[in-house]
Amino acid sequence: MDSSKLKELADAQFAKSAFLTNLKEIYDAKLTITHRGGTFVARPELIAFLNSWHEPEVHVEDIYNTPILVDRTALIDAAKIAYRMASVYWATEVQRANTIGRETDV
Amino acid sequence: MSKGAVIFAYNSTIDYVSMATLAAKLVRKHLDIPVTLITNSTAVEAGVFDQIIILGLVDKEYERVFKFGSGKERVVWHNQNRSSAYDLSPYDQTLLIDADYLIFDSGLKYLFDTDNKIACFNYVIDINGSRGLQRGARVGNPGIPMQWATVVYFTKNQLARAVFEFMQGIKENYLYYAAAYNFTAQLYRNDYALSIALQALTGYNDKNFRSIPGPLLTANTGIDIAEVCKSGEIVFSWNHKETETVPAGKSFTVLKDTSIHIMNKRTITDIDIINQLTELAL
Repeated sequence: MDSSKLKELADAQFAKSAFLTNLKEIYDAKLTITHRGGTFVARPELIAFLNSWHEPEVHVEDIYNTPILVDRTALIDAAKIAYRMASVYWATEVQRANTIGRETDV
Repeated sequence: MSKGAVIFAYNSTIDYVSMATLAAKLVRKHLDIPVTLITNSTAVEAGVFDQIIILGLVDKEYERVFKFGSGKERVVWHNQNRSSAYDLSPYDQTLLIDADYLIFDSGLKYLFDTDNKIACFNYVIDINGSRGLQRGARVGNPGIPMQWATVVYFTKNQLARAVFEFMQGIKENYLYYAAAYNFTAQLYRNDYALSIALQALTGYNDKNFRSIPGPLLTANTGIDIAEVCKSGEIVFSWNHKETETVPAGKSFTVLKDTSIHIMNKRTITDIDIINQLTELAL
């Protein structure tokens, strides 16, 4: 990068609120998982619901309002992995935003 | 079932084939599927595409005005062959993407494990926080909700076939549909054709078809790529206007491991930028 571009970028303002809004949307999308043809979002509510049952299979409504007979343990495992990966990504990026930002940034 | 991605690329004053080559490399890296290019160009980098389908342009040429950060430019725009994607795709499960949609994560991989017949994004987020393309975009006035044709997943089935055939019909009778839905016919838009076809063929109901969860993250035409870091961060910058609290100047944001639709064709075809982005595809 040439020096004039570098100077321009150094003077630029970090759009922190837009960054955080984008990040939340990206995080939400990263929670998407599929199981037996259904599409689910690995939110804590889904994980808690699945954990509250003991039967090996249970019907769960997917994001397209379709009831899917899920393998409870397999879906918990997949949801937890997606949740962990998305959360780590979110937290890491928020931390990074804090190191980029200045007080004057919006 | 075979799966793969399909990209259309027709060069004008903008080098869409280079964009498609970059997009294909990123698809292969992050989604691990083959890519087919549909183009009228014979100068294509070897070893990137699974198949290259040569298809001439038979339709009307449209001009589109792109507003870049540094000004406006009127460019010839060839986007009318996409309605033939269903027939041309060699795959049972197809991810149809624009040449300027760059995939930096494996997020869309799950689509191939769903029973979706056809799916696309139903809302867009501008990475600079501007509200130009945000939720609530409509085709026409009062119109119907916009569906975005930048990324379309489909399998070989009756609904998907009907949607693409209907899109072809809309393209051939664009003036009629522009009048019926009350939008300008100056520019043919695949987004409009897809939105109308999907909504009509699923019972004139906005809830009867499936969208891809999450937003179509977009860097609009006023946003430049300022820098691509080897660690994967991409720095985007744009000019912001003066507000009560902030003087006019430049803003920036950073994205990493995130797929994005880059509408500023000048920035994405800048030789330094495209080389840096290509390094991320290795």
